[in-house]
This record gives sequence, C-alpha cells and structure tokens, in this order.
Amino acid sequence: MIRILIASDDLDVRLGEYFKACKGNMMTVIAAEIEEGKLLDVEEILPNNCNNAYINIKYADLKEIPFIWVSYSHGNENSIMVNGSSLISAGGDNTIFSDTFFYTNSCLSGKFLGPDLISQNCRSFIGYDQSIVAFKNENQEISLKCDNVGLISFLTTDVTAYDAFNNMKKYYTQQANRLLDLGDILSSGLLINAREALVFHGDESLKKTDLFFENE
Amino acid sequence: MEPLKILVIHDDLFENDPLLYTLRERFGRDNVILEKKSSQGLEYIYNNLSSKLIVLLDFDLGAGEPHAPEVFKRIREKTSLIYVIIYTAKQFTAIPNEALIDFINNEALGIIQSTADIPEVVGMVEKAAHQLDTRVDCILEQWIAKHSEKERAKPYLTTKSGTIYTLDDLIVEIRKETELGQQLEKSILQLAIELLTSQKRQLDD
Repeated sequence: MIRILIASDDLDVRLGEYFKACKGNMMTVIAAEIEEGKLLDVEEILPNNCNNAYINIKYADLKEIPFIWVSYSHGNENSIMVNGSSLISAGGDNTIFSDTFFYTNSCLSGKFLGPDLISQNCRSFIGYDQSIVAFKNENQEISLKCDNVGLISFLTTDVTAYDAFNNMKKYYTQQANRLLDLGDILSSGLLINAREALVFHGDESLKKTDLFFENE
Repeated sequence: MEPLKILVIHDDLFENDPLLYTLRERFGRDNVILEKKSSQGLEYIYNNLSSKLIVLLDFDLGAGEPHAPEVFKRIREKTSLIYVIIYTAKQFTAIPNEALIDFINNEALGIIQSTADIPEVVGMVEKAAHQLDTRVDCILEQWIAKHSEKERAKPYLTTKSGTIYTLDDLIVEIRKETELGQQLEKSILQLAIELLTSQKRQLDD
C-alpha cells in the first residue's frame, strides 16, 4: 500500500477554485489507479484542518512509514501556506516527512523549504523555486495539467521520481511549443519560465516500490 | 507595425524650425509632433501610451506649465518605455542637482544642449529609436497591443498570489517594471533562447 495525503487551500478567496481543480484532477487519476487494482490509499486533509498542529498529531504515525505528500497552495521561499498561515516551514520540526515524496505546486518553496525537508530525511521533493503564474480561461487546463503531470507520471508508470520530474519538464516544453504554434508567445514564454522554476531535491532513484508499506 | 512617433515639447520652437524639418524628413511628416505646452505634451503621451514614442523635452517650459523634472516624473509614473531626451538651452551647471539625479535614476536617455548641431540631435533620436526596436519590454508591449480590445480585456493569467491580470493589465506591469513585468520579460528571453537552441539542435541533427 502507498499512502497519499493531499492538502489543498480550497478556501483561498482568489485561487481556491484552481487549487481545488488541481486536487480534483489528481483524485480522479488516483481513483482510476485504485480501480485498476493499484494499492493506493488517498486521504484528503480538509482545508480547515490544514495546520501544523493537526497534521503532527493526527498523522504522527507517518513518521514511521513512507508516504506521498501533495499540497496545492500558496507558498514562499520557506513555507507552504494554507489559510494564510504557514502549514510547513523550513527550520521547523519536519521529521513527519522523513521517507516522504513531497510534491507541491506552491511558488518558491523549492528554494529553502525543499532542501530543508531533504536535510530532515524527506526522500524527494518536486516544487518550484520561483513565483509562477496560472493561466485563465481556455488555457487554465494547461496550468493544471502541468502542475500535476509529474506526480501522475510517477503514480501511473514505473518511473523514478527524477524521471517523473523530467517528464514534467517535457510536458511543459510540449505545451509551450503548442501555444507558440497558436501564436501565443507570452503564454509559451511563461510556461518555459515555469519549467525553469521547477526543482528537484533529494533521491533521484526513488520509485513507487520504495514507498510501499504493509498495511496491518 | 505602428510607426515611431517623436514628440517635441518645447515652448520656443516653431513648426518651421530646422530641427523639426530634419526630424520629419527622417521619421515621416506625421510622426513628429510639436507641443509648445508641456500639459498638452503630457496629454498626448497619456493618449498614446501604447505607441513607440520618443520625447524631446525642453527644460523650462513657460509660466504655469510643468517643467521638465515634473513632466519626466509624470511620464515615469505611467511608463518606463518612453525614451526621454532632455533638450535644453540651459547650461548643465544651471540644472538643479535633484533634477539631474532624477533624470539619471529614471533613465532619461540623454541630455543634449539646444546649441548642438542638428545631426547630433537626430543621431541621439536614432539611437533611442534603435533601442526601442530592440528592447524586450517594448516588443512584448507591441505584441500585446496588436490584440483586439476584447482579447486584451479578458482575464489572461493569475499569479499564485491570486491577482488576475488581463493583457491590458500586463502592459501596465511591463511599463512600470514591476516584479511580474520583469518576469514577463524574462519569460520572453527564455523562450527566445529555447527557440534558438532548439533550432541549433535541429541544424546539428
């Protein structure tokens, strides 16, 4: 069994709908994988419960087992932010994430938080180390898929976390080329900009099988 | 592409001045505009923010009219994409220090004395025109300006801090050189490098 925890800032006034849509897309993919017999156990942390104390108490057992952490939220160089407060911060006790594959679409957190998590034995981290943008209207789906494609690649195929990261970069490039063909140089450039903001920290060889644990 | 406009804000020049004649010969009759009152010059600038514009700005602009430092400040409040050349009969030593500091810090392209030869003035305008043609922010702004009003008014992107921007909003970000405006410029350069390197890869293959 692979345990997956998803935290999303659904209630954010400005981007809550986008974060919720990212989460919905990921949940659909995971549900399809479970349907196919994959041993995945996904749990959504409700927005109101997205605080550091709740996570450390409710999921204290996760210190002992590997899992995948996914967060769709705002961020800064040091933190994942939910409900306007810091949910996970560099410099704090992040040992709950030891042996974890940490995946986030938040801005900037790849800069200091990512390396800090790895220094506290988190296995691998995929995120962004710069501010990035999301498209509106007809291109919103592109942003959503770009944000999710790495983890989907990791969950649905047999690739390593680093391969998944590279697949994410390839997808960004494909979408940038497509937008360029449509004459939208600005969106195309912004995708290249987001691709260059993607960062990977930690164990490049991590595979799904490393995250299995025996469910008693 | 929309032609470059040269706006001369000068209270002592007349339409038949040799400088204006030479500029019109070089840049086109309709593309060189003289405003004798700086308030009217500013109005022209505000109404033509999406045009490629170079301003030749006199220092002292007559009683009751904003002088060059004030005009320059008001231009920079709106945009960093208009090149301003201070064109004055004043000796440099007579220009107040604060004004000189503002001109330098807010990127006036140059200061030229009105006693200079006409070719020297035209040369500086040509240099400004070349820079406008090659600046990423100017090119990006022109690309946005080519869209229809309806397209420019549609939500285009949102930052992860949640602010929604239309293409028109993005022009303002670029002009004001905000963090997002700079990110847009960087994105275009990254795209250009991407295209150049992928082109090279294809040629190498």
